[in-house]
Amino acid sequence: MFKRSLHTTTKTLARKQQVNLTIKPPIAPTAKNLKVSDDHPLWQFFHNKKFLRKYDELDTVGRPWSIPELRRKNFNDLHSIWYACLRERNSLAREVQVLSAEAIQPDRNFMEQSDKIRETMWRIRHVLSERYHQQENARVEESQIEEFQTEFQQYYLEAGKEEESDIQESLKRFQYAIFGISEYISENTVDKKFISGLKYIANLKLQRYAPTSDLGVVTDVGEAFILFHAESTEKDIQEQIETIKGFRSQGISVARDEEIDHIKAYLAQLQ
Amino acid sequence: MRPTSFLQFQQSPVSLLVRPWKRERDGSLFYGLVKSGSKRHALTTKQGNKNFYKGTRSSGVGRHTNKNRYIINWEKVRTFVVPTVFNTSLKPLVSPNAVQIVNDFKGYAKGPQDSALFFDKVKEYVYNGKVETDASKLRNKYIERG
Amino acid sequence: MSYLTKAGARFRLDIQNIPKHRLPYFKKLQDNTQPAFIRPQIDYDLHSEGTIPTDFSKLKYLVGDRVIITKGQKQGNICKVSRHVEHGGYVLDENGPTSTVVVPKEFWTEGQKSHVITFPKPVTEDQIRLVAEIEDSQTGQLKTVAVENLEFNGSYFDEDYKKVLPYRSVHGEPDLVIPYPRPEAKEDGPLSTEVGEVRERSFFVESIAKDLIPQEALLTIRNPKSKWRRGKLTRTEVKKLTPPAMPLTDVKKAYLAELQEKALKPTNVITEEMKAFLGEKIIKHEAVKLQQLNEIRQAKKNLNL
Repeated sequence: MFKRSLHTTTKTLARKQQVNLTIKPPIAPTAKNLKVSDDHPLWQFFHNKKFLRKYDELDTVGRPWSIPELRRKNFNDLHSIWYACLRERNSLAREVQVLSAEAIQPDRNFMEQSDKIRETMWRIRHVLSERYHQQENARVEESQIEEFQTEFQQYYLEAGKEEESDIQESLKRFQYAIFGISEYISENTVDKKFISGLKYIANLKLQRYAPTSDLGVVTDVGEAFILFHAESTEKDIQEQIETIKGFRSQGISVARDEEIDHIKAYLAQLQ
Repeated sequence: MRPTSFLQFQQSPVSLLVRPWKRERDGSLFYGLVKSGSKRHALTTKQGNKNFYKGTRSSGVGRHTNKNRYIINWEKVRTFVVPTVFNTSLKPLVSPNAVQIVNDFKGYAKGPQDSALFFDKVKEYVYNGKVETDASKLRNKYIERG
Repeated sequence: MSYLTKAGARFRLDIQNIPKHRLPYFKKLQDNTQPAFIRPQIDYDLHSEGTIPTDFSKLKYLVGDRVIITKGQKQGNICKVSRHVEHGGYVLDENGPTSTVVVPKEFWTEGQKSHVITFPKPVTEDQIRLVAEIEDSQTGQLKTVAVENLEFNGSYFDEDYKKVLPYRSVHGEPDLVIPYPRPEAKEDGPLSTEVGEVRERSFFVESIAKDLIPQEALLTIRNPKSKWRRGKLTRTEVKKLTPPAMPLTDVKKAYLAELQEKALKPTNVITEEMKAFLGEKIIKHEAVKLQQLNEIRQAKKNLNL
């Protein structure tokens, strides 16, 4: 059966009223009486928390970023400029909308600034797509990549002892440039290119620090990883050669189709 | 009476409606005074039949349930990614006192998209690291390799 | 409706699409509907683009240039250009032409005391000429002249304007260069990036293998599913798509072999026999010619006698 006494409305209405009520003066509905926290997300649509800027507060002297200037900036910087532009255009659009209540056409001074910023924005997109095309064009040129590899090999093997620290640094940059092998383990993705890079770098090190070793060309990825990971000193490389010889005598090797999984497991261990 | 209206008077109402020069290309009749003027435009929101919904490219970010609820699919919602390290010193415009540099691509046939230019830059990075080189620095106060 | 929307733009009156013979009507409409203090002060072509050009060769006279007025009431006055206005107008200093209009009280500016105000009236390019100091080629002294027309050619880097500019010279005489007026020093605006920050290089091409742009960002710039994108065929695909060549018939093979043989044969071969025959012919011909010449000479001599 439906019982009126159990209804929630009845219960709330029957609740005891607060006794100590005091009458306060009414709060006038003006903007000054509204309190907005400083970190309110809608403040992003206001330039320096101003409702409407005056004309002399706008930037009339600045010019849009030019393409040669943007070509010097890395992705993060370009993204920052883009984001700053986006926020500024949002606040300009809001201000134009406020002004449009009284005018037939959008306010020219605000629009001019908005158009200048828009120019910066398309130029950022232009520079990024330019980079994409440049890299895509370069990736096809396999002969040029091979040429660079042999050029670097010559530089690396013929460098004297006094250049030791220089060539170690440039080897790090070289492996990142050609094979995408980063110094930081977390940045790497193990793929075919990574594996071929490991082998190439291992052989390069072997040729420089142990040219007389009877190991031959390293083709096993496990052996390559040991040499790749070894310190760039003759002593350390010699030690690693001994361990590799030990493995070879025990018949330990990595099969071709298991290479990627093996290296992934190694890297997970190192992390 | 003007001569044209006199001509109209002579014709029957049906023949006025079915004039051979007032037909669309598919043969359907065209009831208009002029056939010229541009009309190959995209439909507006007010055109089309009852099934035509043009939209504003702002809807359709989720689905309706049969209990009058709307479930938003956040994959479809437009998002603006904030830069990982926001460089606040870079602003939307450039100082009027900054030199307007010019890029030159001498020796690179495809200009900014040239692969030889790309390899030159990679080589410079491998041998020298992240520093300006003789080839990349500013010449004559305003010229720079692209 | 937001000002950003383009809906309805195609139904709006676009003055650029109005044919030229209809323009006077719109000009009249503009004059009748706008009061004098709002109306543009220069007579301009309604089809012309209104914006002030940034290209120096299209601006002709810059702010700070001295010009002489060649038409109108203030003809002969020398003034300085103080600013540019839209539709190719130049506002001059206090020596230039002015116009007086009546302004209703709602539109009064601060400090205005009368309904009637006078303000500088912009002039067009054909009403003024540039005043320049040019060295006299005979006396070697500087003299002030009005330049009928200017031309812009070549380019140089201007350190004050901080950009590449064309040389401005007297029309027809590219050696008589008239330098641009020096610009005023400017301070950075609130949205301007500082010079040092602009010049800093943070981008280096580091890798062929690693993408220069994150994949997510690339998708917002280039559309991988674009219908304009050209597909790339692999080697195996090209092989499959190429039809096999038809085997040649025996007749065709023989014909081709004959053609090849012909091509290998040297064309003008002159044997010794041929040479002797040709030589004989030439000698005979020469002898006949010589005989004729002698006869003519003889006849001439006879006539003289």
